[in-house]
Amino acid sequence: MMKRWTLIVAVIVAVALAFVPLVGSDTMIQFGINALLLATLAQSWNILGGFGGYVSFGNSVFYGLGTYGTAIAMTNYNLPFGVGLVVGVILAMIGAALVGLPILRLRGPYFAIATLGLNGAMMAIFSNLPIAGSNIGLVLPLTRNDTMFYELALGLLAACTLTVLWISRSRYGMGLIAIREDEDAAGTMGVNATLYKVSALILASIFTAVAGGIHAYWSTFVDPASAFDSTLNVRMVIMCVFGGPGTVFGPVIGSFVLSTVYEVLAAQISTAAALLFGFVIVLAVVFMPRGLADVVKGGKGLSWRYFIRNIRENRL
Amino acid sequence: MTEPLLNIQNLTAGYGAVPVLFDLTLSVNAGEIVAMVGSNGAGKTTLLRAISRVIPAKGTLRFMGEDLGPLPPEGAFTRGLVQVPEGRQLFHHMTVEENLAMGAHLRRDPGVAASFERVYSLFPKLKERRKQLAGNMSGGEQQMCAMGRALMANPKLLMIDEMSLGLAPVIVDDLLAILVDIRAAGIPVLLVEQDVFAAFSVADRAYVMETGRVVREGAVADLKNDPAVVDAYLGVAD
Repeated sequence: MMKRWTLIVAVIVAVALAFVPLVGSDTMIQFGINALLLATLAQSWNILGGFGGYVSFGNSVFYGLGTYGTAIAMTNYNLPFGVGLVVGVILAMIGAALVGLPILRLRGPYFAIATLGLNGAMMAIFSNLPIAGSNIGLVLPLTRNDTMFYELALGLLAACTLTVLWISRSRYGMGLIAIREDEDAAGTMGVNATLYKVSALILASIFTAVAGGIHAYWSTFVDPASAFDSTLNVRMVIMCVFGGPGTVFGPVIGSFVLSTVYEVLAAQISTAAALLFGFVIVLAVVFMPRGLADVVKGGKGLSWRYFIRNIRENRL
Repeated sequence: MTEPLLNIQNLTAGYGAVPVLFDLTLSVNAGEIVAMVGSNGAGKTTLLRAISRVIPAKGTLRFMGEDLGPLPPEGAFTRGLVQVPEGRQLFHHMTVEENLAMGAHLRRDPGVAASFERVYSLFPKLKERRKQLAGNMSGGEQQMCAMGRALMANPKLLMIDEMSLGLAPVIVDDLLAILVDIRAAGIPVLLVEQDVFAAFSVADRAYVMETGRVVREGAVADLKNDPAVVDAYLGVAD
């Protein structure tokens, strides 16, 4: 169970982060918006991926739907930003239900493979939709207010993390964990696996879509390639797994750490950053396959033996 | 006469176009252990799947006076029809305690702590090992854990599929003794078994199944002396 001080520290960190725009530079705030949105994506991926054990490469579709829902509502219909977000969320939820019901019948790698194709399919569809600006994309009205976007992103991450905290303590979360551990056994214990999995995907799609909508309004431009970016989904998976899948704060910490590492690398050695980033991830998978959260939990007892044991247990 | 707890009449079930159970009639009353025995492929597991509403079935299927026909699997579970699946199906990477908690995860009543106590008093071994990973225990302990997990759901009828599978006879005897305790605690048991000796040693009544049909039924005391049953299953040479 979660220790009380973890929660207290989390609240203090969240409050401290809220004051960053008052003191930080423009670059720092912009980095912050990106990092917070990425953390939200990793955290929402955690709902089905970390707790339910279903590795999805289709979550970037919900990001794209949120992006386009907001963009279409704001540019074609002159609706306010808030309404745009709602449109994006509804699109993503419908998408999650339509995609989830058939595809979540597949298990393990087969589910992952099936989700791989979704992103490309969606990109092809939106490239041919006149309402979405076809290949060219859409330009949203310009708003220069980075502080607002920062606070929105922070609020969204807080809401997503609170949802995951609730999941980790609820019978709903217990059911998801049961599905991850053994889906047949979960069925014997009265868990309606289909309902749990599809609702987890829909829940994830909500936060993912809002993140997409915020990013669209902030960057003022969407096109199919940036909205349905499959590497974005890979980053969600990496950040969540790096931090600790199936934990409450792991994905957030993991994505903050990786965003910072990437930013520093990109500033120092520009093009080789991606290469080094890959190297960091390989090391992380070899030495701490259960993520940062598991390393931190070791606390004072942590030594080099922990990392060696991971290598041995995973037969590397 | 009052309706039995589990009342199955003329049940037909199968997989797609392939029928497995034909016109099957079976009942379990309060306070008894009923054995369903038969060899491989007789349809024993299919019967449990039909009762648990995992596969569709035709015929009368009533539990505590309620028609189970239209219920989903979790509906049957929440009404107290709890199964201990063949091969245990424990959550191997979770501790014994977590496995037991999983059995109670749909319960909203305040009696969960009392259920833990009851399970631990029936299976003292589980209390000793409650912080251990379920996957690291012996087969017999895993079977105990699976039975304990099912009991945590507060069953009105416990259905056990192949309890003796892969276990040493000594362990099976221990588990059989616990079944008697479970019956004494007011929970009737439907025991589906290949090991006819074991099943007959605790059951009150028994059904013998062959290729999807009940071929013999009655009190265990009578079946033990039925020449056909003795010949086919108990293997006693003259």
